[in-house]
Amino acid sequence: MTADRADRTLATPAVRIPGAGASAIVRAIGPGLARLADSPLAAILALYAVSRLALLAIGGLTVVAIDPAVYIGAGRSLLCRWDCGWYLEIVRHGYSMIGPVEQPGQTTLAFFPVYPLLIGAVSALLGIEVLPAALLVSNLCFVAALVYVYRYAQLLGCSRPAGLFAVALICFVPQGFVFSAAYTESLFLLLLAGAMYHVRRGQFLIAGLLAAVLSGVRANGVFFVFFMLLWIVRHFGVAAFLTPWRRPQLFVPIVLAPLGLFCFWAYCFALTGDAFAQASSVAHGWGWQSDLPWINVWNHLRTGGLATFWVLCSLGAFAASLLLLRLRMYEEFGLCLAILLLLWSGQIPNSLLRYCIVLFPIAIGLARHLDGRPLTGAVLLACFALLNGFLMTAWTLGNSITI
Amino acid sequence: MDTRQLDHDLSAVPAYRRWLLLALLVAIGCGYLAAFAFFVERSEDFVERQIDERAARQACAQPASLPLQLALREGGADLAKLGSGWHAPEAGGIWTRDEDASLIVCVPADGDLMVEVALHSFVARRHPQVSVELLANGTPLARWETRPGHHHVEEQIRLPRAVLGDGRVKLTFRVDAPASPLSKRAGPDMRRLGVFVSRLTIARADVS
Repeated sequence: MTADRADRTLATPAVRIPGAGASAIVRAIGPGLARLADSPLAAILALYAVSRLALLAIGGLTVVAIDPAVYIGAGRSLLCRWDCGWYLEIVRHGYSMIGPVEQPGQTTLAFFPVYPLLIGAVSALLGIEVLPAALLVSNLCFVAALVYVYRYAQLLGCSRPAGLFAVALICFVPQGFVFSAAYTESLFLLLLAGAMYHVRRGQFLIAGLLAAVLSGVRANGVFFVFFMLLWIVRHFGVAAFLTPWRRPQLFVPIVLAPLGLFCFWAYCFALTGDAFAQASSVAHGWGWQSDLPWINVWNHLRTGGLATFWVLCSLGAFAASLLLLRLRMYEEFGLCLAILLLLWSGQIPNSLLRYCIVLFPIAIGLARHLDGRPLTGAVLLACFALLNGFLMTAWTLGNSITI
Repeated sequence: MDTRQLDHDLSAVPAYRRWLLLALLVAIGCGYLAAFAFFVERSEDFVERQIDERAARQACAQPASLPLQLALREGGADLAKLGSGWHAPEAGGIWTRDEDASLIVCVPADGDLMVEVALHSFVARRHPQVSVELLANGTPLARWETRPGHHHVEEQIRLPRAVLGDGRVKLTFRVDAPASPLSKRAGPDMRRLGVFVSRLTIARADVS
């Protein structure tokens, strides 16, 4: 619908409303509403709202089915599970190197600081409890991230429907409910999409600052550097590295990207005498060990059960990321591959699916590939939504498939 | 954004500002390298330190009388003496998990001691050679090369008075390559296994 037609459509009912005041208001806001309806923002907000309401409905129905009194009596919250408690603990009491006696090393130091810092700031600013502040941060970040994803898709030459379909895929992606829970995924997605968007717009300082914050949200945020390196090679050739004085601005995001990680290391060193306290904590407390990615993938495939489910999901993400090569989105593919290899290098397959869903270029690749194939697109979206609904039920019940 | 336009915009910045920016970026990069080197050099695994400190406190709360047979099995009384690097104990003993697995004992330091150890390493066709070393307060005492068919060790090792210090002894089992049976296609166990310590006894060495 064009803006003019929308204006007329929205303005017509004003004639029927009695009272000149109301008529004037509608006349005043009519064009604004029409613009909003015509803008992708409205569609993005609608996708966000529909997906969240559906997930909340599934979670709510699950709670009702098992007995709300027991659920609420146990102090559970629909959007606070697993790692959520650790983040809230950091906001409430700061970092501590004390872990439980039965599992030494399980400490808050395993979690990066930017997300809890944001929660603390919002909680203090608005004078609200920590958990609502966490949910507010997550959801605001998620909406902003969706806008960035849409704009990024537009930058890559996607049509409007394809851009919106990419947004829809992220809204309904299996385990996508964590974007609205007290988890770091939405913040990570926002910063990653923002950094990549501003690189493509030539705004390197903004991209660098976002990337610096990104590496303070999760260690693999520093892998943004791979995207940047490939982007420079593709657009300026290897010569850009041989003559860095010609365009030093290109290297600002690369140099700034590890800043958040180094700041956290410095803090950990000051607190514990171990700069790599995060790695020490996950190794001892959660048993994280590394091995070659292909060995781990093979082992997880043979293990069966949840390990196989998680690794199959990550392999599905990898298979979908191959579309990026076909679409000549080489930098995006490089980023996805680097992060997937890092994820597969862990001997523990927990959370592989959750870690993969922030790889938004895959959604853009899928959307672009399926542009003009509405039936296939609808089938894919339905599969996503069904699996997401199933996982939301499991999350509500506290099943470990959603760790 | 059009690359040619971007290239033009970037190159249009005055040369002195570009050089200044480059110098700043190089300085930050060097700062990263220096900080990383410093962190690697000075950092100590804080969890291992905590575990070892707790083990030392437990072990030295009541100095042991010799001979001391350590009960390192499920429900054993000496599990509190375990430092870092171990799996959960089992009925017959305990597996090491990391390259280094330590335990701390407080013993009389008035003469040489003997350590009697019974262990076996995890070896398999695809993991045929495992080197095991026993250290006391960082000093190597013994080293065994294990392989399939020869992976059981039962030995007595002299613990010289010189390494006992004030009697607080940190015994470390160092395994060059712990591996999981699953990754070596030798079973379903996903745990990284080094050596399985089934017996550890400390006694006074004969004067003769």
